[in-house]
Amino acid sequence: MLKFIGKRLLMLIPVLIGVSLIVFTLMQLSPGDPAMIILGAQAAPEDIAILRESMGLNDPLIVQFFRFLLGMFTLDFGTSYKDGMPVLTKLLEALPYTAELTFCAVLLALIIGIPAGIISATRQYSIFDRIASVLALIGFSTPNFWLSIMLILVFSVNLKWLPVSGTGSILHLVLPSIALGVQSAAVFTRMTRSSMLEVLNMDYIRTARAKGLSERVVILKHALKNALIPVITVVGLQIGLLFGGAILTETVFAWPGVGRLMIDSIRAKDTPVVQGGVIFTASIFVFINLLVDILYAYVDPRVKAQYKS
Amino acid sequence: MKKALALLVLAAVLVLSSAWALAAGDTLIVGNPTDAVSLDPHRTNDAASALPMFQIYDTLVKLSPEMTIEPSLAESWTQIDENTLEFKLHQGVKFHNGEELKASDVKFTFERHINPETAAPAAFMLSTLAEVNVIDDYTVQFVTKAPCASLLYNLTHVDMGILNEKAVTEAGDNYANSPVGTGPYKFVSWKKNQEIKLTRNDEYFGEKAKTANLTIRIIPEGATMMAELQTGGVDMALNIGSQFVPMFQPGTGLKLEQFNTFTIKYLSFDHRVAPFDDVRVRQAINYATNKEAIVKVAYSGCAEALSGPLPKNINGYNESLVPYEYNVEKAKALLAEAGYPDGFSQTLYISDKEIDTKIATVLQAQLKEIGINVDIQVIEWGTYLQKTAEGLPMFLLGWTTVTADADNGLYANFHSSAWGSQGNRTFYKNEKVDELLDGGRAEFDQEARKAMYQEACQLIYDDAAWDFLTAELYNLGLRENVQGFIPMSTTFFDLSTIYFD
Repeated sequence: MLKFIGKRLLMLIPVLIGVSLIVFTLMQLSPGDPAMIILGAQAAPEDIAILRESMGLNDPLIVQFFRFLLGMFTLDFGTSYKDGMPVLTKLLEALPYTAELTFCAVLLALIIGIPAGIISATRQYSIFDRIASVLALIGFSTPNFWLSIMLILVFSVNLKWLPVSGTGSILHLVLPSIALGVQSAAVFTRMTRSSMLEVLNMDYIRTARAKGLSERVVILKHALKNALIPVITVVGLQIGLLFGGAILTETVFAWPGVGRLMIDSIRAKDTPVVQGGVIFTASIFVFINLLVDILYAYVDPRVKAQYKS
Repeated sequence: MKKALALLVLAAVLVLSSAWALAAGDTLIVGNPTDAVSLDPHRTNDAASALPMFQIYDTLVKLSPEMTIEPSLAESWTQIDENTLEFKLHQGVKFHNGEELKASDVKFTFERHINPETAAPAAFMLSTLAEVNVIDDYTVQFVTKAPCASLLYNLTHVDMGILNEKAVTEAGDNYANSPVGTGPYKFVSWKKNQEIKLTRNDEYFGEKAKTANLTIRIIPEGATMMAELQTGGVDMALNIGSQFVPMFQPGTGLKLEQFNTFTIKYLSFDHRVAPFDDVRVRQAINYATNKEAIVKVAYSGCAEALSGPLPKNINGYNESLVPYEYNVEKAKALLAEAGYPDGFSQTLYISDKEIDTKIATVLQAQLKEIGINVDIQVIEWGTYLQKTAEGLPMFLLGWTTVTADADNGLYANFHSSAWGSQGNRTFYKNEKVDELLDGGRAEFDQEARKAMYQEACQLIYDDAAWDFLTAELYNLGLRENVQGFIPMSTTFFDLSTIYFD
């Protein structure tokens, strides 16, 4: 197992180099001179030239890339063009907010999605199943932005139960978590349902029932464990995606997370922050996938057996 | 005993309720769509950073709502000769860290600002400044490389706020997170992308702030901002989008402040290339433009037709100019006279800003009326600045006269020495205009100077140097109990005058 984890961690290096090459190239290809953006339209050309030189923008691209790569491995992503702050500091300031929101949204989605999926599968084509399926479809297709605004209008402006936006208390978390969690809840419901249905038709479930086990034990102990494997994959992917920053939700609810930081930086062509941010979220994505793989081993003994060989 | 207890309870209730009442009216919460870039004035030139800095720092001189120069940290000033301006500082002014304001702080501030290593985005306003000399603790002289009559106006800009040498040196790279000024509010905390908190400076040398605490909340989404204003999450909302203006109705508990700004939009031409080298073609385009339609369609009514190169309220604005009338027949006649009876085809370049697309679409339809077939091409903002500096035949651009003085609005845009990236992207050249603009810089008699700029405006208008389009209006939302707000066309707002009713 340790060997497996070590191997996966080593694989992080080529992945990150690949990601940084892509980000770096894309940022170079996108038009606009950072020095001009910093100094503005009314600046004198000499001043722009001086700034370009001091920012190292006149060096060959390959030199700039390796400087960036070298910095990355020492966790030095450079400083923001916009405010001169270290990129890492900016990311670490935003990360806790995104983590908090992601955790609450995923928790909410799990609490709704998994039970709804199980009940739907065990009572296929029942009223509950049909309603759950329709709701999941609606939840999946509702535009996040629209849902966020509606939640604010209903619960904050009309009912005055919850604050509109911002951070500070547990109440501030409620609406953004719902807005962000609804889509994941829909995905989890559908995934759990289809996976459960597949498992419930297997021979060993018939055997379990033939043994005279209660339906509860059959479903929760025998079926669920196997049905959860694809669900875990999806949960991992969703967490990774949400960690990348839920740009729309964070913007509507004035939530100071990674998504806001990224979109602001892209708009300002704050290249170091964009590069650092992408690499940062890519690493989190890879890391969560690793956790998912490890989790497989605990859920499914067959996977564990593979690692041993 | 019972009586005593009742009295005690009553007293407690009174104290608590008065404390509550005080707390309710004690913090002004302002919603702003964008976070400050920095609280170091030498790192910024943007409206979002200006808002907190305008409360934290003071400048030597300031602008009144009527755009006249008033004393601030400097109690008086004298023009010693055409290159030397002397300021007498207020005595006994304290920075928020307890240090006293001295002439050496002023010298330090401006030397830091114009040092190329600082790379200050607002340093262009000090391009004529050669040096700052300390005469004594409360007297300081500004020496310019050439006569600069607009220097006083430039010094009112929020980025010209006076820093404390000791605070800047001690804080080093962290200064932007621990700003120290002399202003009516002191810095408390800044949570990036969330909020900036300030508290009243009880030692303020001028009139003290009416509200004890000030919180600036960052709320990027317009719909969220309106919901916050409706529910009292903010008391004041800056930069309201035009689509929300209809929500300000009597009985909603909200009120709207709408006032003109110094941000204008114009259609520009490269005067070096045909057909735009012909004044009749440029005039024809001005006559063919229905500005009211642009205001209505592109700005949802939140703009005004522009009557010349400067928006109103700018020092040097020419009140006698009226916008070119919308007259298709006259436009066609001028175009025919210039040798284009059937019009011509032309690419219109615009930046990727949303408003540009809206304006360009309206212009496209209007110019078709006189036979000019416009095809629109969008370019990313950074590249756009470069391309327009090199020269594009026809393009949309804006300008904000940040200093409220004609020199900033006219010199860069119309003086032939500023061709290209310095601002004159139309490559306009009129010797008389050059002469007037140079004259304005060297004329210290305010009335004579104003007359020069007004004449220059008239010439630029007659030359139809641009197709003068619009001046933007600013929308600011307030809750009904918020009083004392003073609108400023500079969009730099002094929040210390605000109180709750």
